[in-house]
Amino acid sequence: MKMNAIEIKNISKKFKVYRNKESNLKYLFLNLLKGKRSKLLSEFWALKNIDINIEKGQTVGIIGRNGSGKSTLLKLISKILYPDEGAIETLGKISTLIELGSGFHPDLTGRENVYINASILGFSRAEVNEKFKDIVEFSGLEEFIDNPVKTYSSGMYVRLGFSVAININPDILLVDEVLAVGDEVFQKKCIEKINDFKKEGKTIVFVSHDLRTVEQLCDWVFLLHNGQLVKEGKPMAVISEYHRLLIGRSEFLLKEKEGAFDLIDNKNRWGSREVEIKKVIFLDESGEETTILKTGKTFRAQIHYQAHQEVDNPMFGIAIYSDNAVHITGPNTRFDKFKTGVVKGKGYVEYKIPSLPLMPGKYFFSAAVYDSAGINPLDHWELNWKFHVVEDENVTDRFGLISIPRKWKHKHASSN
Amino acid sequence: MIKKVKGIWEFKYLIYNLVLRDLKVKYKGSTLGFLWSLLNPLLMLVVYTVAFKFVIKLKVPNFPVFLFSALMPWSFLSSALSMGAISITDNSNLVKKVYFPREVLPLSVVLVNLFHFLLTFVVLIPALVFFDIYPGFPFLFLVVIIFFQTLFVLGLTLIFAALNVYYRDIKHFLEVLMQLWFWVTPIIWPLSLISEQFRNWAYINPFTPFVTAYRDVILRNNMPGILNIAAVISLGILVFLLGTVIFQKKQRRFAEEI
Repeated sequence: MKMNAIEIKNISKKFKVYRNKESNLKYLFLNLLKGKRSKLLSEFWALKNIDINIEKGQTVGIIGRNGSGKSTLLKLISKILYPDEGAIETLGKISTLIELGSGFHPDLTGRENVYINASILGFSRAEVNEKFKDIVEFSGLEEFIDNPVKTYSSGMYVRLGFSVAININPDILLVDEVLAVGDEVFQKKCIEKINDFKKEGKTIVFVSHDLRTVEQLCDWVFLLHNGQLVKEGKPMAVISEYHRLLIGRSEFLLKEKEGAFDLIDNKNRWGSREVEIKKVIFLDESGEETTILKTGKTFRAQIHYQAHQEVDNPMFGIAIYSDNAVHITGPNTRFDKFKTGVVKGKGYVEYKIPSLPLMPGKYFFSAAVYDSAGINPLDHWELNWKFHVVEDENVTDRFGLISIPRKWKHKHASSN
Repeated sequence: MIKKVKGIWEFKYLIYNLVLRDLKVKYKGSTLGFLWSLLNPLLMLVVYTVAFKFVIKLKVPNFPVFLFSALMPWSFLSSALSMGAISITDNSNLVKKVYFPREVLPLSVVLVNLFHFLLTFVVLIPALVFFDIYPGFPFLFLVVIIFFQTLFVLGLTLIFAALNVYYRDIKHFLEVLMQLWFWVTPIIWPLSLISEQFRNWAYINPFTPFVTAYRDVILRNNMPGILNIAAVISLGILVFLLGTVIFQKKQRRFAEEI
């Protein structure tokens, strides 16, 4: 039988919202006089009826939008917060992987602070003695360890604080977005360390926005939405459900925005307007208009224009950017020697990718029409459209920005 | 309750570290270091004696010992309480980020102050000989009084530390309260100043039994009266329990309210 390291039994957590953020006696007395019991404005349920079992030795991820309740759940597991309903049972020593540099005392040395910090996390002197060398080595602060921490830079603070947390030895490790700490090299060290924990068979609960890391590390993922558990399962399936949730929301936002773009010129649009781009639509493999496309399937973008006067062989171009502004592609009709001929009235130019190589995520789309030399902009819209890519069951790629067709080969260097 | 105590015991090393940290920070960088802990009460002794014996001319025999036997326990109470009341709120980023039994914070403040209190005995006891008092058997009873005063102080500290999370001006209120409390407690004035018929009223003040008990032992080399002992023990236990219950109830929302 498999053992559960964490059993979350039907818990709910309520937060109170106060009229005045400052709580003081004056309000208490005033309210007593007025006969009001408190300055409570409203309450909301940050989590509602959550039932989760986490097996011993599993690495699980909790994902969801900001405010979905995932950090609250982690705090409940670590006993920082108490649930209003339900109960949480845990097996073994829990530690939160958290940067506690803020708990340092500036006048004490790094060494002294390491001991204090580790004891805050619940570790004995013997345990710290055993790990002390690793902690200092991990932080890379060997030379400074006997200086008062007030002489440290903020980066050194963070590194030392984090090294304490990551080098101790719990049964259950809780990780909350801490991988945003430090530089890339340090982050890589952290991921490696978490992988070590995983190999040692520790139970890890991982809360993050970084879906790629969640996908790499986790065996099982829970998706929270508005304080409720909406899906659990293998990382791929849950992450794509999360994408769908995100898309539902951003499509709504997009619609609102597009209305505005029709009427006013924004900074992301320029050109002399002999030919105007009226709209851009995306079509999936079945020819349906959509903003949700699939990796590996046909992708089509139609640039609908209206020419106010005849223009000979204008150049149409597009660009696709990832949501972190990587310029992925930017072809145009002139470079591709595609003749658009004389343009007048209405029409559209279609850009088609037979097999979309983009990995799941959010992408931005630019479209433009220039004169035939490609020098003078007639109508250029920068980053004005958004579309989403979700995974397709047939695509085996999991990492990176694009899926590249490939072949593997293996040859034995054997003697016969 | 047993579970709670066990939970705190698991963090004994943290308590030890926090106490040590406070002591280290206090004495780091001062040339006289630990000597200050001894010099401080000695200097106070001189100042108060000069003020009350020669300037105000209060007619109390052995005034310095009279004063000190009450002033030391008072300083323990007042400094533990004023430091302890802010012990949770001052560590808000720890409370919000990591779990440990919250009692640890006020408890370590009380222990630091207890330590300083005990140190002053190192000065006091040799000084007694100078005032013609030779500590005898009743002095052993100090251990009992100190133990129950510590419970009393801990109980109050827990209450104020918890309330200060919810009402941030508790600490200002506390300053005023401590001033008032100091003057209504027979610390620098003798109980005999109050006329016989009203004297029992002084015992409404929960700190009076402690002061009289300390005085009986230190100044008069006597065992305190049985009623007095009963008051000290029950006050210690009662306030400690009250503090524990209030703290326990309030601490569930510390991380949200802080």
